[in-house]
Amino acid sequence: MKISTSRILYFFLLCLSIQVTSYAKTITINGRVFDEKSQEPLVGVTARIENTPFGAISDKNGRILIKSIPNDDYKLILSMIGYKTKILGLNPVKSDTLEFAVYLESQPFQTQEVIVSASKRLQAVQEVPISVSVIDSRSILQRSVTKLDEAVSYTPGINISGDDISIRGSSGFAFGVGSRVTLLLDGFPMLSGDLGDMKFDALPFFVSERVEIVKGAGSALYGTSAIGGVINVVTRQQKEIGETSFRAFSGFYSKPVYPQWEFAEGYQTNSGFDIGFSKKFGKLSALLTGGYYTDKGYTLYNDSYRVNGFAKLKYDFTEATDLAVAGGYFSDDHADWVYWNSLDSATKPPTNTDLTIRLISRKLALNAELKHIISIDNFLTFKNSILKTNFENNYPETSSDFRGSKALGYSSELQMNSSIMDSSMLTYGINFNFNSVESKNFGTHTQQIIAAYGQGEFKPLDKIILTVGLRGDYENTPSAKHYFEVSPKIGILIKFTENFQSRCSFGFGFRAPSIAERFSSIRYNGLDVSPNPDLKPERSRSFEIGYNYFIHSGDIPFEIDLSFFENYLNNLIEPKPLAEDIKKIKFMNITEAKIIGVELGVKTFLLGFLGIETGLTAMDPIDLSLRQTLKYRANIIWYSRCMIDLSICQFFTDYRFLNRVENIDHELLFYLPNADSRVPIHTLDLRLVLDLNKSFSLPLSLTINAKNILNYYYSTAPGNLAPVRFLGVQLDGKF
Amino acid sequence: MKENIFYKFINSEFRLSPVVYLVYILNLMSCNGGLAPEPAVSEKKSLITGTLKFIGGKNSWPPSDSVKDIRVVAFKNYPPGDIITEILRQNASFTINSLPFFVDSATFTIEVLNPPVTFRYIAAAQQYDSITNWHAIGVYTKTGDKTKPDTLLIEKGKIYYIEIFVDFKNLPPQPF
Repeated sequence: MKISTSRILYFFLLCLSIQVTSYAKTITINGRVFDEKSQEPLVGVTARIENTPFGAISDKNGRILIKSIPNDDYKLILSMIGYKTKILGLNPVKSDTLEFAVYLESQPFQTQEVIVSASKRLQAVQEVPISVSVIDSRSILQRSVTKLDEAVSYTPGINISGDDISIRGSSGFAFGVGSRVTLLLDGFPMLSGDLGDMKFDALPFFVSERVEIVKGAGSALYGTSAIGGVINVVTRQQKEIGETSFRAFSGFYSKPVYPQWEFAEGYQTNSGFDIGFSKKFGKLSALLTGGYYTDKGYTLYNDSYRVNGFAKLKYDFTEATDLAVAGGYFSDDHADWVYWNSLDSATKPPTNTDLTIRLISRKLALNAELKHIISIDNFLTFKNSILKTNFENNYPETSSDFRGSKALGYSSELQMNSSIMDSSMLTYGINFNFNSVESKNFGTHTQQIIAAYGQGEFKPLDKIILTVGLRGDYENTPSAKHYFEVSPKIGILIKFTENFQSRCSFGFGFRAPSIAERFSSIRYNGLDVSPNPDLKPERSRSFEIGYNYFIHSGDIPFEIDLSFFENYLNNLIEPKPLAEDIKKIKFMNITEAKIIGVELGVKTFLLGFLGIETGLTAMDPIDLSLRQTLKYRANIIWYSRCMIDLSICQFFTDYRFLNRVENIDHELLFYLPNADSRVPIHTLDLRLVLDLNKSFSLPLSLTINAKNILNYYYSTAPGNLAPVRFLGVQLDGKF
Repeated sequence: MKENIFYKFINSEFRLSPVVYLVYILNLMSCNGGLAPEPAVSEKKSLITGTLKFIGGKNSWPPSDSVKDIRVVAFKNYPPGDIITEILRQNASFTINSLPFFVDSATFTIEVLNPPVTFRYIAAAQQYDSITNWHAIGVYTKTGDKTKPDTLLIEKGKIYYIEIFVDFKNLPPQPF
């Protein structure tokens, strides 16, 4: 392997030496951005020059300054939450400065977002040949989101079963082990090194700019785990002027309607506080945040106490080189709830549970990204990250009930973006991932994955964008077999008119088994999990064809997006009881599946105050091994959102429906009382946001949140009641 | 808990405040049809649940025109009479729907009414022609000896997990 790695590095150095060019005559882009209605300068508008790393954020005067760029043709993308994204065509100028003034149109419903996850570079959603959903920071902030499942639960095509997030049916319920969706924080991997799972709480949502969700197999760029798609949490850019922000929320869960379910005298509360700071000090810019959350839980023995801190520092060495370093610490102390006692006592754990047992989980993420602009057409990104996870319960280590693991995930990636001509863009790189685990339950193991990838985007014609990508991953886990995975992808986007376009994509995905799946030897709530080092990687193939139509008739924007998809998955790893003893479980490659579906999304904004957004996903998930419906998958996921914008206040409703899951593991019935108790899911959330700036000139917002207001009782995982009605108040502000 | 502001608020003299009315209205709005405790009078079900495992996998199945239905049937008597007669006489419990065809394995659940009941013969049965034409394709046995079916006592409110192996190339002795 040493030989091949050095060859790859040599290839990169060769590329760099060829591509380093000196700057020709450079200019400065000097522009100002205003609100179209109020004519006031807009602060915080992100400006990016398409296909280049150059960009800036508007200051308090709405000014955007991008220095030292070659005098050439550019497309400048201007985006800001709450405003319609604008793309400006800029032409060469004779002077040293290119000046412009632009007015952004207010648009409460975002329709033309920009994302980075589809191609590892910033681009408009309309230029991506695959389905993408974007959750903006307003929605995350107002809904008091502190965990990933809360952030993505109202996204079309997404279903959450316990600790597993499924995009278009990719995952079922696997006790949170082995995610089939890659999770990233600012492009850095965030799946744990041992369980390969998502830590829902290890993300700084208070300072997130948006959450990008790319649907369909994405291993051609991201490698392992991108079987169902990619979720990337993107944090805010640092502010030019100092800004302090805070959020404080508190609320309570409704008491159980049924006397059998009562478990506490008072009301169970859920509260939290976040504070953030962002400022640029000359060449150094900083973004800092910290939060504390306490949740008493809506069931007995389900409380949690969480603390987090996150810092992102960026230093501009020169106009062409900058270094961003980020670090986050996330701690969670929660009760070790696994499942209910029975449906008759759904708010209580099994009667023999020791209620003094806690599960302590700590996560430390350190990321560094060096960006260097070699020339206007070539830029280099070198990324390194460490994710350290540690969890343990407070049983003595000698006890058979002890669970604990320490894992270290290290990732290093060298990426080049090259614009060969005006009409094409190449993204290519090498990537090394290393996982190391020390655990009484999983043993001491390491796992390495070395990969090389390349993706080209070409415009053979003005209205056609062709994307072709390929990635090869070599996985080596000592004491298990080695695997080499090839993940190609191809996509095409055709713009029939300015408002109507079609996309089509076909890609491969794979997931290397996690160390926990291969080497688990653990006793877990009466179950014994046995190791299986012979596990093979899971694989997927995704095909999608989609259409997007956007019109702006008078004052009414209207967007419709329709996609048909087919995902084929094989070698799926699932925990299965052994024939000789149903209480002994082993992870095995057993399932082959096909999921065919259609997804329809509609957005509009009527009468100047009424926003409507709906997304319907209908799927037929078939287990080809058993010729029955795939377990833990709903056929229908319907999400609908409505907003009434009355200037000083906004009123939101979020409704979610999932039909009753048809199949679960029947073996669960043996040890989990009422495991098959499941119903369709209907949840309705209401939210009233008062802008105190408009009514009292205070830089504050007051939000009243009512989640699951109908107090509908349902479960998303066997033996687990989903959150009941919650009423809360939030105050947030920026200074 | 007593220090909590919401606890104080809810239990204060503001008990009749609009917030309390709001909570009351919300309770009235509560949705029916979700999960609920089982009625107190109901008894827990007695179930036989398990897996049929087809030796040789899905490629071992007989031609499709000879597979009309697959059920798991638990008989009180051994040897049983024909399936239809035993069911009509309420001497047998069975899976409500046909199990899937041409698969490697299939899970099943049988609800047993009026426990305790002793089943002396539990078998997977294949309908190969008309509704009266069935044969046994697998038998519940702990020893693996198909000539010696095992007995299973089903008690009130208990769930029993069993496995039945089906070998289409080596069928068990036919009792009906």
